[in-house]
Amino acid sequence: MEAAKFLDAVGSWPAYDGQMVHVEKLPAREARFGELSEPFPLPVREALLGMGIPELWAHQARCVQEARAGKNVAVVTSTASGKTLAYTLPVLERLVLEPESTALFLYPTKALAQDQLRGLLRMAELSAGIGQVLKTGTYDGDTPSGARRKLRDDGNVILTNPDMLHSGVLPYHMKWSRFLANLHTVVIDEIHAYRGIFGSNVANVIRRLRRVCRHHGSDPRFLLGSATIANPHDFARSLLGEDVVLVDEDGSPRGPKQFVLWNPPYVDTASMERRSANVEGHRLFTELVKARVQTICFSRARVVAELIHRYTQEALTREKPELAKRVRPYRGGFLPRERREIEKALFSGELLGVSSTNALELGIDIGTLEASVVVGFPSTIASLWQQAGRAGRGSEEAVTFFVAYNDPIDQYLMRHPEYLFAQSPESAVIDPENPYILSGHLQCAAFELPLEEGDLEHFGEVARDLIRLLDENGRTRRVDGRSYWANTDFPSRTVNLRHMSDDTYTIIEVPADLGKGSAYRPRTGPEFQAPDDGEARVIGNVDAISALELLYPEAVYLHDGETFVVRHLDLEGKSAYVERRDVDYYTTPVLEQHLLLRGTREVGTWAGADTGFGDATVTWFTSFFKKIQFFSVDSIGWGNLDLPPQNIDTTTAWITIPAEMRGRLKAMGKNAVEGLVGVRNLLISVVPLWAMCDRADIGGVVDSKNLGKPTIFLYDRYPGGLGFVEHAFRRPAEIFGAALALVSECPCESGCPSCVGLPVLRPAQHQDPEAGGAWPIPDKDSAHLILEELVRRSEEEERAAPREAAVAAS
Amino acid sequence: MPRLDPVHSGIARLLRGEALAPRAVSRRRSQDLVDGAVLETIGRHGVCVIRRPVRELLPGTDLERDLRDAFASLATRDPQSVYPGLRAAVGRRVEDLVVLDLETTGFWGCPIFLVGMILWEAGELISVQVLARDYAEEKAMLAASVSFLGARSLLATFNGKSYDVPCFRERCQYHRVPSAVHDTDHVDVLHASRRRWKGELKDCRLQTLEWEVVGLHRVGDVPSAEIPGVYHEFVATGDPGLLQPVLHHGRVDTVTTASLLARLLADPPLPIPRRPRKKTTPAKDID
Repeated sequence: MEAAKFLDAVGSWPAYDGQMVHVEKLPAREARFGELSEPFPLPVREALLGMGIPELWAHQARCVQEARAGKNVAVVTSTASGKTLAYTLPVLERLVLEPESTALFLYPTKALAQDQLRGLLRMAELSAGIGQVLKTGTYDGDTPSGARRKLRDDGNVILTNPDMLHSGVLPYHMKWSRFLANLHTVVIDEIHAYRGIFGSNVANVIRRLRRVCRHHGSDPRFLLGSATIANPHDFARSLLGEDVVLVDEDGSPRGPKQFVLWNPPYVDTASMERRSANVEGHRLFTELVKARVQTICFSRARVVAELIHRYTQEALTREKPELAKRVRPYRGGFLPRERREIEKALFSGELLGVSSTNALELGIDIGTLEASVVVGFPSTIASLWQQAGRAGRGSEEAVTFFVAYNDPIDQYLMRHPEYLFAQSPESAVIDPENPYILSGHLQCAAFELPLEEGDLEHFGEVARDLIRLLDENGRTRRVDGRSYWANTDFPSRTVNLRHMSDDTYTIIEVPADLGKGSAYRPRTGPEFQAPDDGEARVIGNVDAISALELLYPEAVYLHDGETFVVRHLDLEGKSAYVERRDVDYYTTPVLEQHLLLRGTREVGTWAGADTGFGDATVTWFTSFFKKIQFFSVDSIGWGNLDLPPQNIDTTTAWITIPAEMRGRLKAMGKNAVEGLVGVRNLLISVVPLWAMCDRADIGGVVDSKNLGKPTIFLYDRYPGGLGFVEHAFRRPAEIFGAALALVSECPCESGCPSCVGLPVLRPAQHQDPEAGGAWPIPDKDSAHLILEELVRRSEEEERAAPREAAVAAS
Repeated sequence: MPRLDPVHSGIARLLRGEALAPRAVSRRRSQDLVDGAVLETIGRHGVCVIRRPVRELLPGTDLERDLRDAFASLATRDPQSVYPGLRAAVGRRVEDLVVLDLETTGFWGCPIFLVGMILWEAGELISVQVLARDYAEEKAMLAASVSFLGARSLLATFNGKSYDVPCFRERCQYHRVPSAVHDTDHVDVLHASRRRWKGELKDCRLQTLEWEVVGLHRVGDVPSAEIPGVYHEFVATGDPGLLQPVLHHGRVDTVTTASLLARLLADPPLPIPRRPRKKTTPAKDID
């Protein structure tokens, strides 16, 4: 597209009011090609030719070369740079040369594995030589048992996810002995998705896989793919537990791109209220589609993706009706068939626009588009670049609009574009040796094969102590120097790789007149009766946690631009019954979060403040919902909800600020609680440096309910706790010192996302950001004062009595 | 050497929460461990073997004779009149027969700890059980069992096509013990029993058939589902008393399988014995 021309046109819109606060011109990059020392065997060359690929880009060629040399390789290049091909080619080459060899492909989601399967099958169609040898399929929870058996017995390229490997393959490894004994390559794509708790678990699953392979006599090489992160080499190494060659010289060409920061203007000069980002975003999206520019519009929540779709479709119907059918929404929760349809239509160019959540951020193959509109900061810089990277094909100029919400982070980025363009993307951190995580996997490992001295090579020296504990506690039993699984439990059933449940709710459409005029079939409520099969139609699904935030009774469920109203949420049957109803509003949930301290394990004092470590139940629930009118975003009503809360029992560490400190802040005209919220956010930023976890693995609240005084509670976001926040209790001087350094070194004036951060840590996942209340950014000054004083007192204490000051910090 | 970080003092507590109470482990390597058990060297391995003549297990019945008669009758019969699942027996000598039944330490894919067999030794029908006294003895136990099985060419099981044989093969493969157990030499009594008694009895589970058809009543048995747990406890404590009911259970399973086989092969089929009136009055106690 001609981006400059489009931007000129935008500047002359009647409604244009200086929204383009910054335009960054990203230069084009020439393609760089690479050579192979040996050509591919004929069938692979045929497939490449069939795909119209005469030459490999530099990073692809290097990946093939290193893989041929038997090395582990991590390919870390931009979106749409042909990573898939880079690691698929060595697999196919090996398969052609050695048809009995096998390969395992791991993807973070089932949908992605299914998408990639289609890519493989396409290559098999293009080359008879590949078609003859390739026996492939996805092996996941959706695979029927007949097909599972066939894949186990005959398959040579199996696509699955880490959860299935963990609980469906490794414990039954003897059934897989043919596949494992011949396992030549393991491909792990999108490794940046494996950060934090999930990543630490996956790293252990990989160690278990390598150990089981060794038993079966194979030693596979690993080919990894990742989006850009700050520390790809270290991260790939710790995920694998082995050395890996980093390939990050991106040889794919990139057209020039204009990256536009778009800040919706104030509604009027007198107010601080800005125009709706959703409305501004849909306008840009609409204009791009009207100019026949193929565009993807990303937003943060499913509700917003649907809203923007609806707005866009309405606008097109008015302004260019022939294009109204050429836009679709795309998000998690659609049925696979629907998703396939949309992906295909995008690929073929039949669709001009798609309004999507981050579901399309990962490597689903939809080709490259010409423009992207990102509505709202997608929480990490890495994600923002992934989303922006969906636009830009060949040498043509592409455009990305980043539209800001009127919230502190987005507004900060509008004021400080350099933060976006200079800041490196986030690091991915894992800790496979976290003893809580490791002890679970050691049990799984013992079930698979008895543990012995040599296993420390896979799991690290810490495993020695853990194995001794397992032996002492009778989980395993040591006989002749090996620890055997010694009870009737099935350990992989109790070790969950992710912190979310993987239950799903089915969304079922029922006729609007169902139950009308019948005393026996109430329209809503607990007596609601599920209709007969003929009257119902499954239209989608949603994970169990989201169901309570998205499908509460009377919620408006937006699906493919249409409005459905939830009549009944069946918690036991895990179903939501919805009916099609034309309404002019949508709904947004209001979440409440509580922490209840259940027990104290240890208490201490540090810097004159009371600290503690103990057990807590963290509860959150959707307490009521608001009805929001389309477009105007006016709140037109609300409803109470009586939904069961969701809990995790976990561990918590806390600190209560001394009363005189609060008094002093008050005397200075500061609000102590606002300061504490800032301190909490800073702590959540620094604790991961000690705990080796992701920020998202830790939560925190500030409240006075539990202890009668304003207290910061940090907790591990994992049932039972994983020892993360325990660090804050054991090492207060180091952790508070780091928090102080972070806030005092931050150059911002009055708080930014990098220091005191977000006012609300976990807004409802399915909330429209514009429908929530506006919160101030936490007060940087107060947070700074609190930390400074605590650190000063601690240093004084240390000087006075060096031994007693810290609580069990040794 | 890296140690557990003191930060993670809670880990021991976490593990303890779900564990058995720690117990002293006594290593048992003597043959008087289990009543009647002897240490034998079979192949290269020393293993624990428990032998009991079937005649002693089932006083008052003659399983030896029933089996001999059944096999003898096969020689004169049209193979088509034999239940399809049992035709592998045609043309075999009764001495070729070995009945097999396994006990494992848990789910599918878990180690085997007891291989129970009924076979002929010196003209006498014997129950032979090979026991792994701890997890490390599984390999020797399997190798010894393969010696017993390999010398006999007709295998009989109850549901062994789906369970015992693949499970045995899998564990042999795991330990790289060459196994000569093939489907072709195998009669699965479950399939023929279904053909014969389906609809007539409430189900065709082994214990139902045992009660209704063979007319045995188990005394001092342990439910199948509890067996893995009992074994783990036995390994933990070394208490041979724990294992007696498990060994008994295994023996009865093989005896019942052999009795069913004799009945199903007999032509005409042996009559079903009169059903005992109440379950409390044993038809015939065994052991």
